[in-house]
Amino acid sequence: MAYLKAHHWDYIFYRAFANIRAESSKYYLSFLWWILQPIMLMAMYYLVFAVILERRTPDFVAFLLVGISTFMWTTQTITHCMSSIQQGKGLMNQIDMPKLVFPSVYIVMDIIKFAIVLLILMIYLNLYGIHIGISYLALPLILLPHLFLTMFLGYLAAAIIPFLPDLTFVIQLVMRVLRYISGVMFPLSFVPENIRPYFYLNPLAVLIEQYRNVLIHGQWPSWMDLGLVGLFTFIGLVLVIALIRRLDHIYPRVCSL
Amino acid sequence: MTKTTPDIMISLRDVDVRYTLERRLWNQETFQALEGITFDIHAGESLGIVGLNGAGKSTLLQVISSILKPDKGALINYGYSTALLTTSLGFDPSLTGRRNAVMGGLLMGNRKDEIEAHLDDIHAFSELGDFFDRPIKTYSSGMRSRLGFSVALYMNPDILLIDEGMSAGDARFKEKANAAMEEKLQSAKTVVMTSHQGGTIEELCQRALWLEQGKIKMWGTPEEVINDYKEHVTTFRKEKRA
Repeated sequence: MAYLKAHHWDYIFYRAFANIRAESSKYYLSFLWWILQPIMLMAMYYLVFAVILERRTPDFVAFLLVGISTFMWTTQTITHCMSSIQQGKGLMNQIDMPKLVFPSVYIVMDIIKFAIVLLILMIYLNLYGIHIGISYLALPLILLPHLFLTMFLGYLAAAIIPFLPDLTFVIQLVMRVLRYISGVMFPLSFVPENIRPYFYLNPLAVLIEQYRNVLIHGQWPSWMDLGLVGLFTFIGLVLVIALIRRLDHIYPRVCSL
Repeated sequence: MTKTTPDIMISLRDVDVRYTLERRLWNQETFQALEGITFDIHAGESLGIVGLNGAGKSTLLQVISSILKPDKGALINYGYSTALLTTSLGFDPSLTGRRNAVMGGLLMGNRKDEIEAHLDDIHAFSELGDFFDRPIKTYSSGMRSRLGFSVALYMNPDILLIDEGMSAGDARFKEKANAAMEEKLQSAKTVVMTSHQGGTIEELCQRALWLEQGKIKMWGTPEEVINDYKEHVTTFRKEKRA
């Protein structure tokens, strides 16, 4: 028997779009913030790394924008999913429903936001003079393992936090550290050679480098790396969904504490 | 497998529910909310559950609607949908009544087009007027319970579970809601409702159950049960005063 039934899918998409509308009406610049946020971060890193530290790479603005927007998809999803099951306690105490629905709403919302950001990023790259090439055909094959990774981490955070709310602080710290070691603001070629291989154990670092290969350098990605990331994150995703399903009737009790 | 008569919708067998009270690393304290509850819910009946605050009424409704799994014993649902109705629709306060109504209907197992076909009825029955398209956070508690009741009414679950909170609507709406429920009961709808008073139960139910400290204290017709229960409440109050 399927865990999520047709009406649950209806609910996930309906809720995701309703949330996006409600969220955007909260701010004067509503949807514009999706774009402004990465641009402001880019300006800050540019100031620190290019102007103050004078450690820039060619096409540094494009380099930063690709890193920031792809990195943010994953971390934003984790942040949103983290408290999602806990926040659903009112609802889950009124209706017996699959708890996977709660983080799924946020995963759909963040996919929609990222799709729009990515589209605008590609338009910018073209205007900037980095034209769409044949390598763009490989983009879906980076997006897919990245989607698995993002869903896996989002569901994992959602599954664990109701039991161990204290981990919220740890996850926030880990995400901050990840920002520095995933090659968001400087390429991993800056890292001393003897410790560099360890940095590539981080799937986000692998993915961000492949995005740059395809979007900026017009090169084909490393298929082997993408395949490995895709395989492991897919296995993780299947396991974490099974875990949430297993714990389905424990959450109403745990979240009420 | 136990042998069942065809009209049983849900069976509870020796159900225990214990709660953990606090999030602590050691010395977990537990609270026995339900103990040894056994009964059946038959198709088309209306069952009333009375008991003081904290007697386990809401927990029992949550077990019946499969929200909570018993710690001991078993709940057997022979394939029927349930919807639990409480004071407030616990959906999203920043979204409109209309959107919340759709989301409620979806979670009760309906498809989007089925719900949209009933939206006008829900709007009319709830008497929310323009508020139907305003965020729920602008509603009074009475308005919220009117919306919740209207959604559950039109979404037609096999078993309607009503927590006492329903009384939050004003007297006139309550009358209208009771009339709608009576109509449901006549059309062989199954209803389980809880109350700490008993008025509505005497009016609408065919069977009543008295819950005290998580155990069944008495079974019978609503008249008998409510009578004994009220007597108990009065003596209990006198004892407290003395």
